[in-house]
Amino acid sequence: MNYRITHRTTYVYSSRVVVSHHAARLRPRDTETQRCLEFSLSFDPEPDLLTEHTDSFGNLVSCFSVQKLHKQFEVISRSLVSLMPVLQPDPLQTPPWESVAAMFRDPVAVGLLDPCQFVFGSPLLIHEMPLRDFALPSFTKGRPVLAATADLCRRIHREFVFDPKATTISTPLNEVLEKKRGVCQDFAHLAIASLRAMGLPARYISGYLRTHPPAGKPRLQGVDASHAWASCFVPGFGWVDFDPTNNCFTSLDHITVAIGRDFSDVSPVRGIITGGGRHTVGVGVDVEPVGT
Amino acid sequence: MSSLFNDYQPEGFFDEVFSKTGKARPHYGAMLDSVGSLTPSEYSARQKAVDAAFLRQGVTFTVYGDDQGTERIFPFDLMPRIIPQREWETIEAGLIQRITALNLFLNDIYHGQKIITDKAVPAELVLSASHYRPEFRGIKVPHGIYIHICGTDLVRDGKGGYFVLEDNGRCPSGASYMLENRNAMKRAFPGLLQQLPVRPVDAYGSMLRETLAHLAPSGVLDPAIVVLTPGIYNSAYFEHCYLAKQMGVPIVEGRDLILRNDRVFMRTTKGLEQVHVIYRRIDDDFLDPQVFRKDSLLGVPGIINAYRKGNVALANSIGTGVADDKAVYALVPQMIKYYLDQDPILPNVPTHLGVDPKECSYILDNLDKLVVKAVNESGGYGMLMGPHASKKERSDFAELIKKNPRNYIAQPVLQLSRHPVFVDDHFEGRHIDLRPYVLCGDRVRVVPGGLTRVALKKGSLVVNSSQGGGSKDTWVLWDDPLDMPAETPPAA
Amino acid sequence: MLSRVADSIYWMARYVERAENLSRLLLSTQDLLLDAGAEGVDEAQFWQPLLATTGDEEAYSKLHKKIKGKDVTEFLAVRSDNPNSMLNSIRAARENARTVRDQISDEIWESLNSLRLFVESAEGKAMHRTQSAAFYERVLRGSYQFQGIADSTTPRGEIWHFLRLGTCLERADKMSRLLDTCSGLSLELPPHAQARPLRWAALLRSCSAWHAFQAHHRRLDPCKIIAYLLLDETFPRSIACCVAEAETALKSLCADAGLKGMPLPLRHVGRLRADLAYTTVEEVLATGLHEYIDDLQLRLNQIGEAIFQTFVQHAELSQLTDDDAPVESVAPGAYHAHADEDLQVQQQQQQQQ
Repeated sequence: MNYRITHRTTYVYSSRVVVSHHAARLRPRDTETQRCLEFSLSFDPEPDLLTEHTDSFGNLVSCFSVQKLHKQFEVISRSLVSLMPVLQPDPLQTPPWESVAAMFRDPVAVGLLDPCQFVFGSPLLIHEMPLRDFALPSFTKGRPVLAATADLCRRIHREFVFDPKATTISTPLNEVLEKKRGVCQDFAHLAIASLRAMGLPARYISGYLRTHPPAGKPRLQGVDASHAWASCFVPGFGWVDFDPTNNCFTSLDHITVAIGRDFSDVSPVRGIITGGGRHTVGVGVDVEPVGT
Repeated sequence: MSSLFNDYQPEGFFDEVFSKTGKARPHYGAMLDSVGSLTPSEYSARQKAVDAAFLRQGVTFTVYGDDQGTERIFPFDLMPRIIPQREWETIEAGLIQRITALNLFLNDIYHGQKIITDKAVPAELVLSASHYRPEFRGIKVPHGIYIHICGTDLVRDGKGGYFVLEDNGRCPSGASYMLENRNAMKRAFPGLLQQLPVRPVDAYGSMLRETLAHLAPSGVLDPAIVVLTPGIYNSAYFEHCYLAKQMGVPIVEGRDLILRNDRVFMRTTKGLEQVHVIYRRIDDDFLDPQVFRKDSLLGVPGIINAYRKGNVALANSIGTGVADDKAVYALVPQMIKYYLDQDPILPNVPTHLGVDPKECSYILDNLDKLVVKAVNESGGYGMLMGPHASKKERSDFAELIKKNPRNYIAQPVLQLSRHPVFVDDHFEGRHIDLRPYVLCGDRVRVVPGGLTRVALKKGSLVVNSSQGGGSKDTWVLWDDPLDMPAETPPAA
Repeated sequence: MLSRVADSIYWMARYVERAENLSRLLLSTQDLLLDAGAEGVDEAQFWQPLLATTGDEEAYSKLHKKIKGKDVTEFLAVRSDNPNSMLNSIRAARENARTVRDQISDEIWESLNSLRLFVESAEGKAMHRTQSAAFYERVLRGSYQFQGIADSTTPRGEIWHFLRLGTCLERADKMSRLLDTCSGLSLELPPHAQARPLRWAALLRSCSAWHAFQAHHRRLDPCKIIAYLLLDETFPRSIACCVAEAETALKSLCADAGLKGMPLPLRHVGRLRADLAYTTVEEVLATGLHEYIDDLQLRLNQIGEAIFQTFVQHAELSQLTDDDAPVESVAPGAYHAHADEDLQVQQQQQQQQ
């Protein structure tokens, strides 16, 4: 399955900006089931400075600065991505969650140092929250780790209402837990923090989700959105992505862009400006399937 | 013995000045003669003169809590603490060994993580440290040095042995008080300083400057160095300003700096001037709103990119907090063994880790005998002094520990050594510690002296300024003045 | 020099001068009341111009319904909820000094620090309650001490020029407001040499011009007083003198910074100086004193803004052309009485181990 993706981010400022710095993580990742065949960024106005580096989670970071006066700024990423079907292990055949958690108490012995960095608290998900209590019903004694995770995913989907008005980027998790409302980012964070509370590693994935138009209607452009989901670790297999917002394991509809500990590691475009007053951001994502 | 010390009692503690039998230790002889010959009112007049000068000069720290941020002088006790040459040589060697190992550890943790894969330290403990920054793995820092300025806290136990209590490898403070205390002593007891071979500390400013200059991007011969302060409301603003002045470099706030072409510049009346080395006194989280906390008003957007590129150097580097995490502290002896194949010269205080379930239950069972500390706090905050705490305080703390065991460690209560301190009109013993300052540039240097902190409350073991602590000048004596090492090396 | 440092030094000097002017004003008003002596005098009539001078009528009326001497003096001198009070001016001067401690002499810093310690002390507060005149005199002395120390310890470079700019522009501004309070008074020549129209006499006193003026003129001729305080470059508190000194400082600063052509602040200050030099008091009165001063104040503000743009915002504005509207200010500036709370909290949060 191939997709052509256009991701447009537009900033409009109420007064002129003297200088702006942005860091973007927009290039789809190469994974075992995904290849990024083409990728380009275009800007308006052109930045005076553009540099790239790969961060320690393997994401490509593009940093750009505009150093002349401007009242708006737009960055568009265009990519062509090829997806292969994801093989999922049989959840019931995965090892009991307790044994997985035990492995991460001595990760070196079992060669799991890399996933180990996703076991602990991270900038937005500090360890002290009472998430163990929330997670516990899914993690019954001896339950296979992926089955427990799938149950967690199902519970989040069932107990929480998708409500874009309920939260913002900075809403803390305990508030989400209280209101039982949120968006994909909140649900991914909730799943991740719950897994970690059980001593299991979990990653945050940002990406795109292909939307299917209602039958008989043409696909509208720009209605797709950035999406976020989570990933849990199954020893002997590797990372398994799941989407608590849609209660599913990821498939040919999920395009991975960046991987990190939580949203703060992967935010698609992050900027700081000097001057500019108030600003508004517009984001448009278009995920178009193309023939292979 | 002179009158001022006639009634002084060591009361069974290890006293810096008097042995158990009440005899003065030899290195204090000359000072006791001189100080002891004063009458209480003469002594207290000198003390008052120093206090008044500190207040007038604004040698103060800020106490938070009301809107104006009350400034107080850091209480200063005139009678200096003296360390003889032999003891100092051990301290110095021990500190150099320790900071060397800590820097090797940080470099390793942020690159290959060999110490973990070789199982010399448990992975979980290191990777779970809240100041560990995996996002910084693989970034090359100048000369592989992470901690350039370290303030290590030393204590002596009931037998007089030195122990390391904690390493402060993020933004250690107090060096300015070390320097100001010496200045005050020069005014209060000029004769005594002349008579004794006391090693000077005033080279600290130039040593710090050299240490920072050593970090400059290659090819920059005369680097522009600045001190980056959070601003006047920070408790240690006086120190930031003082050190900048000692080094002869500008003190800047984040808003004075601006990025152009991945280089850092300061805004001056004559336009932009490039900056090469930044001695920063703000937390990692606030350094760059583009990378860390977006709401930071103190940082410089884009500075991390400039750092990554090697266009500007930061001291201390980012992510050093993993090394002064109080749980990771317990691993320092293993680090010394692993990287240097040596035994530690200065031992650790025995430490129980909350993260280990067995030790955690030991801690919970013995709260009344232990000191419990939160792993990332400093300044005497987040701490439970078990034996002195109320039942309620202990049970509250037990809850905190159970909720997040990784965040706590416990240590036995050490009977810290005591030193005579002037109270009203006579001397009484008070517990003290010692914070020497270690600088890591082309080589590791320890300033001969440091800040001796005093728990001014009778019986208290907490020396932090925020908790009613005071300070003393610290004199490192050289047995033979002719052998005294030169404090500033000849310019290269 | 850092732009923020320049701004802080400029404002440090302004705040010291502000506190000094306020002290003198309060002292002379108290004297005026004593001179007026007679019972049944409407106090408010004497205190109201003070509030007008400092521009705080509105803030005052929020706190008090009536204009009473005790309330006004307290409001102007020691209330910490009045951002322009003497107390807050001294605080702000001292906080600015603190941010530039490494740039100014220890003696300057210690003099401002001592002054602040005094006005905040229980002793200072008690003194203001029981013998306010002594309190104001102490503040005056503090300001003189600051000026003297600054004069004898500051190298004649950028720091000095920014110091002088702050002092002169604040002084000119306050002097213009002071003159404005007299714009409604009669300009009649007093009937004989010994006659002392109280308000005009108080005006001279409140700017320490009594003796200097009397050395030149026998009579307290209101027109001559206006000419003296507004146009006479020889008297150090006159507006003309302040503007001339500001011009000198700005010339040096612009030259040091290598600014080519005719930089904006220099253009403004030079024009104003020329106008003051070639204007007669008759012309001023023909325009109307109040109208003339209104315009003067606008021009003084313009100079202040141009200084800020040129030396503080510099980096941002280097790309601006003359036609561009100014960019919202983002440049780092001085400390003012009510600082940004978020900033304060974050500054405090930074862990110093």
